[in-house]
Amino acid sequence: MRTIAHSKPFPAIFHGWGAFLSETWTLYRRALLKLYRRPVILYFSLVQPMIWLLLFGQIFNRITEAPGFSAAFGGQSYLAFFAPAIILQTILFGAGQSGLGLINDLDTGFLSKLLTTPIHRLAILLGKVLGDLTRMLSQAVIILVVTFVVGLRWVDGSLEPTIMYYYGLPGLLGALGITLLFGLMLAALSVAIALTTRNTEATFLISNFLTFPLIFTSSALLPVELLPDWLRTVSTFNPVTYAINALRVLLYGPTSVPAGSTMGDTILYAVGILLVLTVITLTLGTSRFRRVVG
Amino acid sequence: MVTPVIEVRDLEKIYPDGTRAVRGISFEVEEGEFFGFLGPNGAGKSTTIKILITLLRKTGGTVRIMGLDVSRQTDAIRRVIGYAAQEVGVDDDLTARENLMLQGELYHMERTLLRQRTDELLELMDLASDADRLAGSFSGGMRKRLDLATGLMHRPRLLFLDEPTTGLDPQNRANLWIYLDRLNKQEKLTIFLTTHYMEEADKLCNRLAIIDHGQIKTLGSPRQLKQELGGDVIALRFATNGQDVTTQAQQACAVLSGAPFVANIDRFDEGINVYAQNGGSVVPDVLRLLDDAGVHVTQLSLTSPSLDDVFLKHTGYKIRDEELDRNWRNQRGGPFGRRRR
Ligand SMILES: Nc1ncnc2c1ncn2[C@@H]1O[C@H](COP(=O)(O)OP(=O)(O)O)[C@@H](O)[C@H]1O
Ligand SMILES: [Mg+2]
Repeated sequence: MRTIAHSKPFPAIFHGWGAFLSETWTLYRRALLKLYRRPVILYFSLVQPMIWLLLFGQIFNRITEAPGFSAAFGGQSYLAFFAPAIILQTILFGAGQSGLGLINDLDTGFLSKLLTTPIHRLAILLGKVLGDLTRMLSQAVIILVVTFVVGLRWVDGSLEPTIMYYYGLPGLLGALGITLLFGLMLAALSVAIALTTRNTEATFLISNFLTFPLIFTSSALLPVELLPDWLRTVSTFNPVTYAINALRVLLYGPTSVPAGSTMGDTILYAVGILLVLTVITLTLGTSRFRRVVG
Repeated sequence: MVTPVIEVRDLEKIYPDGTRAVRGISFEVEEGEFFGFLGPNGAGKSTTIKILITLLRKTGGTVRIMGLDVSRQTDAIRRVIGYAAQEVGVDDDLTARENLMLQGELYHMERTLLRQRTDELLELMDLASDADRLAGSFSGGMRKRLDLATGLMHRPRLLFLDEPTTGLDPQNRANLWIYLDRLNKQEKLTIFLTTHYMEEADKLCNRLAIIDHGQIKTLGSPRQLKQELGGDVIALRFATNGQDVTTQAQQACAVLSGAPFVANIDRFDEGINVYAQNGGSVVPDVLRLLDDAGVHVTQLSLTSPSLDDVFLKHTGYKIRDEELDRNWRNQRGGPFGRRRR
């Protein structure tokens, strides 16, 4: 007869920090596995922004010939100009997912099950958020690749890229870093809202409420110099403007530095503003989470 | 003296909104016992179990699990207990094996042990042939068994089950009983179970407490509780025409309480229960006495005492299974309720 109970529980092979890391790693792998099994969560928020990218990239292509535009964006194609905005739009669209995952775990009882194990409570949140960041990272990479491919042109029988990522890999990594910071800010906000409302629909709404106003009142569609005055004012209060500007600088180099700014400032502003906002939403999200898990 | 596995003294839980869900209950569970909490919806079963497994803070009393204080030694307690909730806490996007491995990894089990244990439990729960299918494609009974298995991964000394068969069809329910009984008898696992099914409590539990409105109404082995009724149960219902039922019942009580062969009488809304040794032989006497007194009996049933009768005696009402199931479904299935398969 096998012995199932009666004997002592199995000994643990990790303790303290090792245990925390192992728990986070286990739950992060679960998040990846779920993403792999339900790729729709990856594609869902990508579809509309991608269509925008392809459509607007065509429709507004000649806009780059407008006098103010080339001055502001160094004569690159509209496709190049628009791609960073599309990355952030995708992140915004998908923001609800982070909170939804937690609500689902609450509703199915999976979270209760986790909570009766002796794991560190924050490992649950961390594993989840790392999974979300991985999803966002994949989305950003997909957009960058698609932009590059769509930008290819036949010149004299060979394919020539029209999109040049100015700083190569370091620039791309920097841009992905900014994207992740932006994503972390939203994921934490999403978690805070989800755990406050405990309601799928309400959590979903933040994406719908935030995405378009934030995109339209930023430098997403046009350089701020070309925006109407009032909109230009609004855009200076919109964190998306700073994030997009920094992405453009990191991807396309000095020619895309906004008027009246420097390259260093553009990046510094973005990182600073996003960091402050992220600290706020993370504090909110974590405290909500602590309350829920008691 | 052996320390009890579960030791609860004057446990109280008042929720922040003022609901007094648990009102001073005390009980002990010994190693190897199959102990049950039998009570209707809202009795405070889940609240009690959540306090015992460290998911919820109590507002009064003391609770010790294997001698450990539930408020202070939470991690030590979590290491030795297993839990399967009313809701099935498995991840539908993971296979059965992945669900089990995940659980074991969270207890930091060594790799080889983890694999062995996973196979062992898949075998025990008859899930081995479906081990690599997604849990989302499982039937209700299979999901429940998988849920149970995940709670056993780390080899707990004590298993908590909150309404493990609610929502299962009768066949799956009877099926699960076999697994639970096996775990308790063969594996000597101490089990604490809550249920609102009389039959379940009767079949599985060595000892049970009847809980209602946050209080323990009575506690003992099913057999002992039934014996306390004082014999066979003669259930009587009265005519509604003309006279008021209550008056008739009152009258019947008065007449019968004097009879030497009656051990006990309980009165309820619908009628009365008369308890007597050798019920069969006294039925004619009962009927004669009532007839002489002008009480019209419309229905009489004679049964050996059941837990239903025990429950009725201590709470004053009956639990109707179908009704509870329906309530439970409604409760779970609201607009934001969870997906059910
Ligand atoms: N989180 C909560 N806040 C307030 N009241 C609650 C909460 N959870 C349960 N209750 C109430 O406490 C009582 C006992 O509930 P519960 O322990 O779930 O009963 P059972 O599991 O026996 O059906 C019920 O009246 C229920 O409405
Ligand atoms: Mg309950």
